[in-house]
Amino acid sequence: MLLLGTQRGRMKQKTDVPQGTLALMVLKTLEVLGPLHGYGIARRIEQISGDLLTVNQGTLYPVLLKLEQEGSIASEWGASENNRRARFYRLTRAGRKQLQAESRGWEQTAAIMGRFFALKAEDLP
Amino acid sequence: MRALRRFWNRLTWPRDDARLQAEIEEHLALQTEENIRAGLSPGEARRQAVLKFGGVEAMREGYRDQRGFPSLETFIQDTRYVLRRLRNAPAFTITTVLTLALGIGATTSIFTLVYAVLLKPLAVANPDELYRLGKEPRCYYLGGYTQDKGFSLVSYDLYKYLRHNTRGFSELAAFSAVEPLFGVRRAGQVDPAQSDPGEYVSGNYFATFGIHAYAGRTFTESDDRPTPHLLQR
Repeated sequence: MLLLGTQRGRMKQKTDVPQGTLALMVLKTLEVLGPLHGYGIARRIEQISGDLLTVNQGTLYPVLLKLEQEGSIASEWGASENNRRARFYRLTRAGRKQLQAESRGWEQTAAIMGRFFALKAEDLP
Repeated sequence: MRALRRFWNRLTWPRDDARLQAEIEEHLALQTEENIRAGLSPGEARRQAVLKFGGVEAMREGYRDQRGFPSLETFIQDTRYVLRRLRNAPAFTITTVLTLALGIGATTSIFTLVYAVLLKPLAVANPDELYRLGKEPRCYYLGGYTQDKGFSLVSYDLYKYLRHNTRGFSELAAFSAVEPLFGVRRAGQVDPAQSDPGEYVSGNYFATFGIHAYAGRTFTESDDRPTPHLLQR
């Protein structure tokens, strides 16, 4: 049983997206690439994460709606690359501010966790 | 601030599923084209795109939760369900409604009675400072038929004595133990006089209770004499 458990754990290389980080990824994507439709955002997140994230592309749309209701992003209809009607999302001023604040917090958390993991027993004074 | 804006937007957000549907279609079309470019057959390309997108219905649920007020919608649904069930069981409904109505009615009337008899303060200036003097339960009261001897009556002379020699009270008023009937008739009328219950009281009676006359004046101590002034309205 134990062996089976470890094997399964080793085989599972993809990770689920923690709550809230998907929204941050969306904001960052829109900051870097400018106005983009939902498919473009999904593709970008896949590319950046190197297919390490298992995320159904569909889960993106509730996040987009939430961000829009909060005023972090705005959307309007436009024409996609192959001249189809697509909804384009862009970062608002409030969204930019939110992104700055949240990425700062995220970097701090990552730095602290990094220090904890880097620490070995012999490093302790 | 962000939560407030979100709340407002949730209230005013247009409720169209068409927008989401169009977005899904667009998304799947783009993914399908990408898959075809990668060498899949059109049918397989579409299938893979749908797989990658994930469950549409589950996502749509999440989308609706984001958009509306799930708790409010659930509440309305629950209310409708309850009303429907109540209509289907009239005997139960009538019993329940009657029980509740009787319960509420009985409680209300009992409280009204208790309030009027026990809780409501007397309609005088300082009810807390009012005391009835006597050494028996029925002090200064002689009405009604009783067999016990629990009366505590004083003579007018004793009252005057007590009043002048009791320091603990700012006023000491007296009223008659019996309730005499007075013949009352409006000035200028020729009808027979009506008999109304009244009471003989000491001149400082109204001052003791702190009650003022609605019009004119009440008795004062100067009226405590054999031939008082006639009170005018």
